[in-house]
Order: sequence, then structure tokens, then C-alpha cells
Amino acid sequence: MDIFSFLKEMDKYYGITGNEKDIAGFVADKLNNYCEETWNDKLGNVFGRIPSKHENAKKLMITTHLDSIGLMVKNIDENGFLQFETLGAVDERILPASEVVVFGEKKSFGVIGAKAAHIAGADKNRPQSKEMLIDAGFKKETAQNIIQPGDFVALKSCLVQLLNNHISGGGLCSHSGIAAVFDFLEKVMDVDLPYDLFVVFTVGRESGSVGAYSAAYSVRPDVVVAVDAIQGKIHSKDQTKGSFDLGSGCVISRTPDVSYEGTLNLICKAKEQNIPFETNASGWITMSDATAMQNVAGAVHTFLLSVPIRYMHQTVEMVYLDDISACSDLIYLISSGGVEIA
Amino acid sequence: MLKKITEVKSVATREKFVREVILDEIKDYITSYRVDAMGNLIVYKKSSLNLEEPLSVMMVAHMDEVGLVVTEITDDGLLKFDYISIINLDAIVSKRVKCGDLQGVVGSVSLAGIPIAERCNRVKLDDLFIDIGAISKEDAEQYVMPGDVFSFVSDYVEFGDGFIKALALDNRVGCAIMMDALKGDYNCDIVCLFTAQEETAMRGAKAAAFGIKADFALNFDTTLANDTTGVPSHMMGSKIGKGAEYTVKGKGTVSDLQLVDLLKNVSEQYSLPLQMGNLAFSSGDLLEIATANGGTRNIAISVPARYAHTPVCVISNKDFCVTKEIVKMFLHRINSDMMKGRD
Repeated sequence: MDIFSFLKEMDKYYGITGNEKDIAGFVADKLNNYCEETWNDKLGNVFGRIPSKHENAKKLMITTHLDSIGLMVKNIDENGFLQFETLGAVDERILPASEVVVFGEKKSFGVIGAKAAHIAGADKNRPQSKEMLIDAGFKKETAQNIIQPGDFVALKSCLVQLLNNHISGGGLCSHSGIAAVFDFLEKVMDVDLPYDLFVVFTVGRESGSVGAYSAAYSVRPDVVVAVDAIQGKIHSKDQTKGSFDLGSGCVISRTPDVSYEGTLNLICKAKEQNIPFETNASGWITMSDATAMQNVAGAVHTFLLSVPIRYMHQTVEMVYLDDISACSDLIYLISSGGVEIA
Repeated sequence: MLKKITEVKSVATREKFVREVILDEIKDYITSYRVDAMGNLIVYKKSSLNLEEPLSVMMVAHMDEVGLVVTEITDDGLLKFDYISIINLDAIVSKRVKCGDLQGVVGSVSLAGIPIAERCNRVKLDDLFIDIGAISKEDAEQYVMPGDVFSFVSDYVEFGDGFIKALALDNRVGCAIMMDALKGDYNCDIVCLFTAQEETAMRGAKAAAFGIKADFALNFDTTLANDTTGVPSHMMGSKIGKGAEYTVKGKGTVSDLQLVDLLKNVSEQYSLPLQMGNLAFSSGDLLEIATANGGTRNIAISVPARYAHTPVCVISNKDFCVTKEIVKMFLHRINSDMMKGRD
């Protein structure tokens, strides 16, 4: 699959944590090309199923999230500017002078203001989101006709290709995982899989894995392969804990919320097959959808595969395209029965 | 036309790109032009009357925009940079930049990498760099060198109630006003300076104006509209939607009061809204123009703009159109009465 083209097509759709309808529609539509059945649940999770040809096949569910960070309108002030809240862990440094799309009755373009340099000089601290305003170019009366408190706001993205197969854009922390899953689905078309395969694109991962809990509960999988994003190193001397170079391949987590034996077997197989990977080892649970699904409806074997992302939760998130392919290769390795789970 | 000239990236010192576009638009309406060693475009338009000594009016607008200049390439292929003109660093984190066809993004060290006590501090230049996706210094050096100039990326967008967001509205708006004015015919001789390097402290204007004596000088630029909620009115500058703006006092310049009166007169006669800006900050090129060649009577006419020197500068289309009109009517009204100035 041409991963960049897929991501560029998806770039026009937004999934703001709490309101993923826009991107859910795009994903559900694509999913119909690969799955025998597709459906949504009440929360907006998008499901697909490729039944196994084998009797008593165990259920394996691949999961990745639809949502990204965003904003929500709190109030329209007397001059028509919009006060807002952040949704998910937005890196607030990106907000001044950002372009946004307000999902009111119709989509409206807006900008988050920033002080001109001539007058910003006196400030000691950077502006906080609660002081910032979205300027949609409306007076209060016009704004109130199409926008109201509670409306979701997306940070505008424009996916671009940089050097050496790197790409940068907004929403890659969810879009990379989605691309990895679809790349995998391309690979398993007409392949005889040992598992009853489920795919779920979850809502609300950035708001505490809201969708993941209910998805696992409704499907009751035996195995979960979760695909997510992980901090990418910014430069070689970047010491930030839990961050990985772009170009590492897929990052496999060895943490308490994944299957110890399964993951170990995965690592051996990945080495055998020369699939590039790195290991994220930590004593802490990752607070990802894997964590949520591991024990919500009985215990489940889990794997967590992550794509390294530089500038996470900013609008210029950066990814190395081959890392997404490596991730989809590992999903394939597990789903095709190549890894002993327990 | 505004869309066309705002989408050309021309940071200070690299004005040739937008200069070509401007020249192409106006060449059929002018008498002659020259380009000087600093890249200033000086355009002459003779009076349409056959007067012996027509009044001469100099009009000035700068072509350049703010941007970033590469200072160093790190071992990892990241680009350290400095800014051309003053930029609020809080406003450039996570923004796209471009140098010719080379795409880049302004990256920042992760918040987790900053000590907790400093996380609310304003963004520092040391924490920022341009990322072009290079994997090493050698790799990056195939594409960039220290001294290369990056501009921001920002499309022309019309939004809201007649608002425009575009790159470099400061000061393609001023250029557009002059380009529009040049399409008319006037009693006075006109010389237009499309200046270079205003953003590096008006250095182009100083060179361009040298030796060009005019009776009056008009400077066109954007002006700070600091009119968002919560700003006290004495700090607002001007207001978007309230028309063209004139300043009586800038930093180091004072507008000629007779010219100001004439402007107010034109505004009333043609019902073109006019406001006075109340923030006496930088006068831009006017500082150099007003004091050059022994001094020239001058006035600054501006379009109010929000979020100046950021990639999301915003103006009102109505203000822009009003300003274009008021300038043309003003030029028509300049006559020999204006020679009776303060002595």
C-alpha cells in the first residue's frame, strides 16, 4: 500500500477526542474493502471482522485509535472571539498563531491569536490556553448562529513530505496506527488466517481509552494487538525517557500490560525475519488501549506495537514511513500465527 | 492580486521573487523603473498633465517579510536558526517553513526535556530548530547552508465576515495599495519605492530614498490592531473593520498635520472610514524616508492587522479596499495648495 498517499487522503479528516465522526466515516468506508462485516457501536468505535475458515479459531483483535488531540469551544465572548479548552494532552506551545477548524453547524476556519512581537516582549511567561482566543472572524451575533459552547475544534493539519522518507503533519499519532492497520489488511487479503480476526478503531484513547474498554467488552477477544504511537527522539543526544529514534522500525513494548511470553516470542521472530524494531522496556503500564483491554472483560493476551513520532501532540508530528511498514509487518507476524502467544 | 503576492515567499534579503511578480503587474502603468544594488524597486510615473513643475509624491511600501535564517547545522541534521526582524517565538512552534522547494517544520525540544520549573517560560531560541528530515549533518548539507533563508508557509484564506488570513500581509498589503494606485493617472509626479529589508531596520529604504527629493512621502504598511478581548483600549493600536488607519506619531516620526487634515477631508468627502492609531511604535520605512534628503513632509497610511509577524496575520478585506480607495482619492487631491506648509 502507498502509505503516504493513504495518509494524505486521510489528512482531510479530523478525529478530535470525544468527536471522531469525521474520521470514523472515512475509516469505516475503507474497512468495507477488507472485512466481511463492519459495524459501529454506540460510542463510535468502528469494527470489522474477517472470520477464520478454521473451526474454534481464537479471536484476535487488532486495535488502534481514531482520535487526536483537539480543542473545545467554551464560550463566545462579546467580540465574537472563542474561548476554548484543550482536549487530550495538547502541547500548548503550539497554540499561538495556529490555524483551526471549528466544527459548528458548518466548518469554520479560525486562527488562535498571538501577540505581535512588538508587544510580546514584556511577558515573562508564555501564554496559557485559558488566555488564548480563537478568531473566526465573526461578530458575536454571527458566531452564535453557527457556533456554540461544546463545539469541537480541530488543529489544522497539512501533511508534507520531508527528506529521506520522513513525513510531517497533524494527527499522525493516530493516523500512523490507522495506516499501519490498513497496510496490514492489504497484506492479509486472501490469506488463510488461523485467528478469527477483528479490527477495531477506537474512540477516546486520548481521553483515557474510553472506546477501548467497551470494544474489548463487546468482542471478548483472546488476543489483542494494540497499535499506538510513542515518543520519537528529536536528536541523537535526546535523553527523554521512553523515546526512540525515527527509523527504529516498530517499537515493541515490554511492560506489565503486555503478554510477557508472547512479546518475547515476537521479539525472537522479528529478529529472525529481520524486521526492524526496538524495545520499550519499563516497569510502568503504558496507559494505552492495550492497558485498558488487558483486563476489562477477563484477562486477555496483549501486544503493544508503537510507531515512533517526533514532536508528539504538535501539528508537525513527524514519522519515518518505513517505521509504519515495520509495524504492519509485526501485526502480520502475530496474526498469521507466526508467534506463539503463551 | 493580494492572494498572488502573499503566496510568493520573499524574506528580507530575498526580495527578488516578489519583486518580479510586482513588476509584471505594474509595468504597463509606469514610465520607468530601476532596481538598485540592495534589491529595492524604484518606479517612476510622470504626471499625466504637461506641467512645468508638477508636485512630486513619493510612495513607499516594503516588499520583504519576516523569516528565519539558518545559523548552524547540527550533527543530526537539524538546523539552528535566527530570526530576521522581531518575531514572537511563542508563535512559531510547530509551524511549517520552506526554503525554495525544501520543506521543513519548526520543531522544539519536548516539554518533558525541559525542567519543570521552566516549562511555563516563554519559548527560547535554543529550544527550537528547523527539521527537514535530514539524518545527519552531511545529509543536510546537500540541501542547505548556513545563511539560507526560510519563510513560513501560510495559504491565503478568506474567512469569517470578510477577513483574510495570509502570509506576509505585512507588507504585501502596502505593496498592493501602491500597485493599485499606479494603475490610475495623477496630476503629480509619482515615485514608488518598493523597498527591500524593512524588516532588518529599514535598511533598504535608506538606500532607495537617497537622492530622490519629493514634496511629500506616503508610507503604506500594516499596523498593529491589538483589538482582541481583554486588551485595554490604550494598548489597542487600531481596530479591524474601522477602516484605514493613519498615525500622527510613530517612533521617531510625526505625520505632517496638513496631510493628515487632507486625509480626513478625503475620508469625509467620499465616506471612506478612517481611524487614528494610538500606539506610537515603529514607523517602519517612514523613519528613513522622513529624514532622508534633508527631510520630507510625510504621512503613514496603514491597514490594521492582527497577529503581525506570525504566519496567521489577519486583515479585514473592507479595511483593505477602503485604504486603496482613500489613497487614490488622496493622490488626486494633492495640488499646489499643499505647498503652503508649516514654515
